[in-house]
Amino acid sequence: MKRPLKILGLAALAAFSAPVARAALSEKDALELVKLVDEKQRNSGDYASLCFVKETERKKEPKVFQAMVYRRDADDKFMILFTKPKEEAGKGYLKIDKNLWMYDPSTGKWERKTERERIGGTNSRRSDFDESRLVEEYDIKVDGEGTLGNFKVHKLKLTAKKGKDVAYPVLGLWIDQADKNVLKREEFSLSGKLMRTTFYPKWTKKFSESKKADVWIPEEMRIFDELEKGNSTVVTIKETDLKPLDANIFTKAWIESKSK
Amino acid sequence: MLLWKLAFRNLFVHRLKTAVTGLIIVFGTTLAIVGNAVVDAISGGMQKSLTNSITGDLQIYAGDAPEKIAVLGGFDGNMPDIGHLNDFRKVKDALTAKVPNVRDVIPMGISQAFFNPGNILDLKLAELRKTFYENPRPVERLQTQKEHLVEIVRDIERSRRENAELLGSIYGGEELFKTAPADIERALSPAFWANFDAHFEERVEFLANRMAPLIFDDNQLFLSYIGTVPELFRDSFSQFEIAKGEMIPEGARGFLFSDYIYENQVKHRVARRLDQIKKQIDKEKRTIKDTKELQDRVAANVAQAAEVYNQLDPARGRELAPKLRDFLKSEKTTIAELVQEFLATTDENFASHYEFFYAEIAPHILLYKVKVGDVFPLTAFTKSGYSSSTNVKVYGTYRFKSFESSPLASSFNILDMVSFRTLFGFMTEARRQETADIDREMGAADVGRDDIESLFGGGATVVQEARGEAKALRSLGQEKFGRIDAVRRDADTKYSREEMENGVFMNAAVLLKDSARLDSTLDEIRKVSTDDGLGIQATGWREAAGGVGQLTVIVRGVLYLFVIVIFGVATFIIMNSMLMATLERAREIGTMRAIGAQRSFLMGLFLRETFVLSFLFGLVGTLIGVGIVLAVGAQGIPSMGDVTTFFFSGDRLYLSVNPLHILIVFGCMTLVAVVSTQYPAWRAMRISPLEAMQQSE
Repeated sequence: MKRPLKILGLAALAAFSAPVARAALSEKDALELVKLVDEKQRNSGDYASLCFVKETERKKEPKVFQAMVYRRDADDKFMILFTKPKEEAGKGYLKIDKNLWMYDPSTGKWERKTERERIGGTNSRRSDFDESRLVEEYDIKVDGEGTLGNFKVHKLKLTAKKGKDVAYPVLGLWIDQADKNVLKREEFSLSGKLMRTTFYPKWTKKFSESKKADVWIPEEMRIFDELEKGNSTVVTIKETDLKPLDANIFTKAWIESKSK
Repeated sequence: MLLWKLAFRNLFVHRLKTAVTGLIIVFGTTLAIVGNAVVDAISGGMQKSLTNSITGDLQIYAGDAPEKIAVLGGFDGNMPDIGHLNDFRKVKDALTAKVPNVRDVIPMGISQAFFNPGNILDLKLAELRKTFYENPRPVERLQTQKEHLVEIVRDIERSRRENAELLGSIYGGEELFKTAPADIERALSPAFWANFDAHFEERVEFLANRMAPLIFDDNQLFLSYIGTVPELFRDSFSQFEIAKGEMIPEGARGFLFSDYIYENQVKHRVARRLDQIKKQIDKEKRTIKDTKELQDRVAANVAQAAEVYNQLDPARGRELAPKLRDFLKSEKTTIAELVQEFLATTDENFASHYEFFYAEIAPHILLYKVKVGDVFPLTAFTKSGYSSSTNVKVYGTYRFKSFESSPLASSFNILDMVSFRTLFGFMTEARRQETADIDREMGAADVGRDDIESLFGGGATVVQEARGEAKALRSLGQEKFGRIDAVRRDADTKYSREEMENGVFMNAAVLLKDSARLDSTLDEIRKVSTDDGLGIQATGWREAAGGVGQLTVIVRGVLYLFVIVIFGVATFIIMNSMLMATLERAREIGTMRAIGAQRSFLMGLFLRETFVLSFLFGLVGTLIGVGIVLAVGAQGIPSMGDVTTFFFSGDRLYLSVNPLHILIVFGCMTLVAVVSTQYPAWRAMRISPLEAMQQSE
């Protein structure tokens, strides 16, 4: 019964922290803020979404695909199943525990991948589609304040905790002071080199039966490759379903069955 | 005659200077003759290697290619983007019909793919899964496979205990490492195996997700390949031969490993090291005792002994243990310890251990990550950006006779043209249309990096309420996609020569009837391309090969530079000594001038002197050079390593004398003589007879 209390506490922080936020954040506030970011996106039940990913590379024709993302955050299970274009349909990524598996129906074989694997050969990572676990994975520091367009933001610097297998060891987060949504995320390598910058210009909130509260979903993500200038990835989430999913969805057999 | 006498007399009087200058000239000419013979031989060897293995006499590719072709990679080692051409048949028909010197055209496409077989537990779990679903279920085999899994888990536990400190420092913070003790205990418990079949998928998943990642895994293979019509490739390149297995049957989809890659990358790493040690002991006459490199290899084999004993199924392990004990005269009991002891080879026992390994152990382990006869999945990133996979059968391995050990000529595997096109995924109009349709459905505006803040400016609202029901999502969730492309999975479909040849290709090797007429044929091909609108460009084998092809040009350039410097020095020294001699002989010259010697007379004298010097010593140098070329050339220079066999086009480099180079050397010597004479002669002409006479008094 601790969870509702925790949510209440975070909601209170969301409601009342705005005036405080104008002053610089303390380390403790920053931690609470990131907890809230995680909490807003967390959905205690199942999650399914229909996504589109568009990859634009310099001197290359753009590629676009449609995929379904399924999550069962309680069990740390995650799956992406590609549905379009035709040559991609049926391919899938399945995450069980810390293993990311990829299935290719054209060969009928599974392969174990790493967290750093590019999804579908694009510049997107598994973490872009998965539950936000920033507090669990990173240590948080305050990095000042700023503006993004018309939005006032808190800037935070996150460093991966030891032993966490994350795609990027250092993050810079720009969090909307008013709504507490992440608007910009910078991802750095261990040496401090900026690798990707992601912008979140659209957030959708949807009521979740299982959470008994709103879940915040980044409806649009614009990822810019900072190494290969001119390369970018756009991810949009068209539909979201928070109803319970079949138990057998997160199995290799289910993904295989889609292409039989 | 008088002039010749004078010339010889002068050279003789200044014996020391003559000797020094002469030695320089001898060195320069010998170097020029021998150096050119070597460069010629390497250039010829390389031509033979390249034209007989991959480039053909010349290569054709898209006229509008963004970059120049470099079959073996450019100077930076990267494969350039050479675009592609749509209709091989049309190009081939036009060239064979209209360019009489063209013997054959072989379509090609060079690309890369990867294959990850997974670690031993992944492989054994895949086998188990396959056996489990066989109908009827082979109970006995299933049981053996399960026993093997238990052995592998036991070894994970053993290795975890033995290397606890090291593993802790590397993986200490990782979730998997923390849960490992409990997970291993579960995987080794009788309860886990007692009702295994009843919870088959869950148990297999547990082993795949909790146990397999505990094994260090670096089995991924990156494979460069040439997509081609395999039988055409075989028939066109005379040095081609099958080393293991068989040729890809006509019309079949299939894969041939380069034997070099197969032995050096695909082979079990312990066996590979044993092969390398054997080669170094036998061929290079090294000893383990005195060679650090060999000691390191032995140590690495001992450290990775698990890769041998983990692959032995328990029954085979039980059978092998007493044999090993007997062979090693060892007291050790477990197969793990015995294999470790076995791999700690010394100079004394290496030969017998090597023999034992291949007789008793190798047949029962995965000697190659992909076996000849296997169907395996190849994955590549396509031209359109998506990854693409296909199953292909490995029919065998191939090599090029006489330079089979060269990594350069062996850097490509061979893939049939149909599989190549599948993996390469050329952008078609239909695909482009499909992309546009999905893009429209996605409906995200194009916003560049510089305008991104506009999404957060003005009246931008970031937060929205969710709309409607997730209908599309639910209906898609019910949908089946069918087998995407049956062809990719099915490795047995046959294709006609037309089907193999019709369609997209990247480049093609052109073989000529008369290789000597390369330049004129290139011109003819260019003309046919323009006349028939083929849209191709053609380039000779040397340029087509890329960086490697240019190597002889560079080497020859450096050699010439060296020879020019030597001759330059010789010129300078000759000129200087002539000048000194002129000043020393001022009285004599003055007297000659006084009795009516003309400029031409003096010039003749000097020229004869330098000519005798350069010609005589040039001749000596040439004779020495020719002697070296003939003596060494007949024996052949042995290749110094695997790389040189490619440049030598075999194990030895045979030199021959090229009369043209002798002519060039003599031309150079004449030039040296003429140039070095000019200034001293000019100075001599300025000596006034009167001054010269006075000087002597």
